[in-house]
Amino acid sequence: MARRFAKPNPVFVASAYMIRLRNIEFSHPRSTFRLSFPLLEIARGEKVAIVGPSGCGKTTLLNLIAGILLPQSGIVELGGEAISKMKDAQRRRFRIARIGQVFQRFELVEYLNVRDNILFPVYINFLLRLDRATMQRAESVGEQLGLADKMLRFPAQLSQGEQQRVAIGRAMLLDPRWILADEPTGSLDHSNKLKMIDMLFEQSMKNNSTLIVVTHDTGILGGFDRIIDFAELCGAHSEAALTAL
Amino acid sequence: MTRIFWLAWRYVLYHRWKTAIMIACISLTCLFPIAISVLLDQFNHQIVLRARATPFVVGARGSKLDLALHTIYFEGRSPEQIPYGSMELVTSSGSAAALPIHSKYTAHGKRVIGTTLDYFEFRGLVIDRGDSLVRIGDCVVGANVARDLKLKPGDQILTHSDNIVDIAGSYPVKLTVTGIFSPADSPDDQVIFVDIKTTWVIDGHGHGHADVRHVGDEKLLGIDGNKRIASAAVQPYIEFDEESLRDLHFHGVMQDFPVSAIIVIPRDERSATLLLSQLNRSESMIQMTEPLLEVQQLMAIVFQIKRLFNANALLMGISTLLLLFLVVMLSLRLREGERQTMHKLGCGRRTVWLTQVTELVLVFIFASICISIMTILLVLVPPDFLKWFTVAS
Repeated sequence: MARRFAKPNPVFVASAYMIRLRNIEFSHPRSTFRLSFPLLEIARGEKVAIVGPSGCGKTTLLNLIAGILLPQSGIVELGGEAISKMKDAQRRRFRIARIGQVFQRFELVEYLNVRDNILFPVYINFLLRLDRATMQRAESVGEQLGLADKMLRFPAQLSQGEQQRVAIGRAMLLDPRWILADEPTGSLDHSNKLKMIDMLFEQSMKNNSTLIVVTHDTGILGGFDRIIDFAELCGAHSEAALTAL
Repeated sequence: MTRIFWLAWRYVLYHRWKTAIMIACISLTCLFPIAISVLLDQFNHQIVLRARATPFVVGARGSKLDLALHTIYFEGRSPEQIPYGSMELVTSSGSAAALPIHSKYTAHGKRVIGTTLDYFEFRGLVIDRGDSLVRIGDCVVGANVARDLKLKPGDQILTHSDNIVDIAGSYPVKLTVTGIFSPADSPDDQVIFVDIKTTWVIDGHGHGHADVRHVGDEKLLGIDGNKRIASAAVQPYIEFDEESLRDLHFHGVMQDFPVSAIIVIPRDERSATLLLSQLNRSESMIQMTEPLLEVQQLMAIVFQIKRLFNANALLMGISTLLLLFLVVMLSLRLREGERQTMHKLGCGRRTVWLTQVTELVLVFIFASICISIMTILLVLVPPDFLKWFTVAS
């Protein structure tokens, strides 16, 4: 059983794969929302669920970790590298090479088939090589996820379960150290939710990747090492420190 | 850059119907003014070419444009006729050659043109099958007439009669096809050529019939001295063979027989000027005109109308562009999520926009290709009606 508000598991020692957010201050320029906390650490291989009601800052936290958003102050470190201090191109390169992301509505590209959707991160990043090995890797990821016979189908021709797998395949293509999933089960029925979480765990364990899942669905929290409740950071307590959890 | 084009290509391919509609919109909007311009230029070129090949035309007083257009294209109502004797006014001084044109009749919907053999030489018409005109009742048909009416040398066609001496009945004349012209891509392909005398026979000025000395009294209206006046019961020959040609005779003076127009080929510019001043006197019943001038005046009006078309095309183009802009903006709004995903995955904002702009560029490239192909086709394969305005060479 997962422990709510648990401290990092002692078996997860600080390493080059650790996520560390220190003295974070973030506010959206066009809203009153503020996020502030002194320290959040997530160890290598840890499976963390971030829960809380809508609008409390869960997605913002994921975006800060991925380097999509930058804090007004504080440092976001991934594996010892301060992603928040990197230049935009550097940060994008870092994100594409090391972070796998799964989105709530899968966000597959409708005009690309399964194989090309898995390869999409490579297509849109010219720094990454699109060679035979990458193609084979996409085929192999598709096979692992049971999509071998559907590689030439388009998202509209797939079931929701199959679309999930394509979204996971896209996140896994480059063997990411960190997997960030934003409400990956938000639009699924219960059995598909559990399958999705199982697949994420499986992929995470295969690569010893750190998995961070943002969710407001308490029904899927069973297998996580740690659950962080973001509710306390919302409203009047928006400046609460995560490390106190 | 290759990957951007590839992604854009995949998008265009996936949304092929949407893309096809956009390409069609752009192509048609652009093609309309281009086609008008190309066709009009070709039309102008061809019409001027034919007019230039017909130096002057003499005909009855009235619209000079109608006279010129009818004489060189054989289209529209036949102009008022003038006497054949007018030819002498033109040729008497030896300063010009003249070709009579008689264009009053039709046969099976095709215009029957009475002229002389010199006309064929003047237009450079070449006989493809059969022979030229030999005797009255012979005809040589244009390539399109032969094709449309499935005629070959030796066949016969009946004229649609409009006989001026026909009181009791109409007597069409049976023409024998002696030859077929090679295609000339000109109005000459559309008509049936006969000797000018044949048209006078159709007119009723010349005819053949049974010898009235040997017809029964029941077919005689009376006897005036040694003159026997036959009734309409004595039918004229409508077909010409050796026997009927022997009996063929003309009533009246040839100088008074009608022609629709006369093509005048002056020896030099001075002769042309003299003829113009001589024939265009105010008291003259005939007039002489230069088809090229008439056609150029006509084209000046046509080009003025073209400006209206251009203005219309411009407005259409602007409205189409605005509609396309709206479609693109709505499409971009709908694809906001896709752009966000690309950005979140690590794609630069510039690359994200470049990908979507490239899709639009592809649409414009395809539209340009369509426009180019259609324009080339218009130039290489002009519509049939343009061929009518060409001159045989």
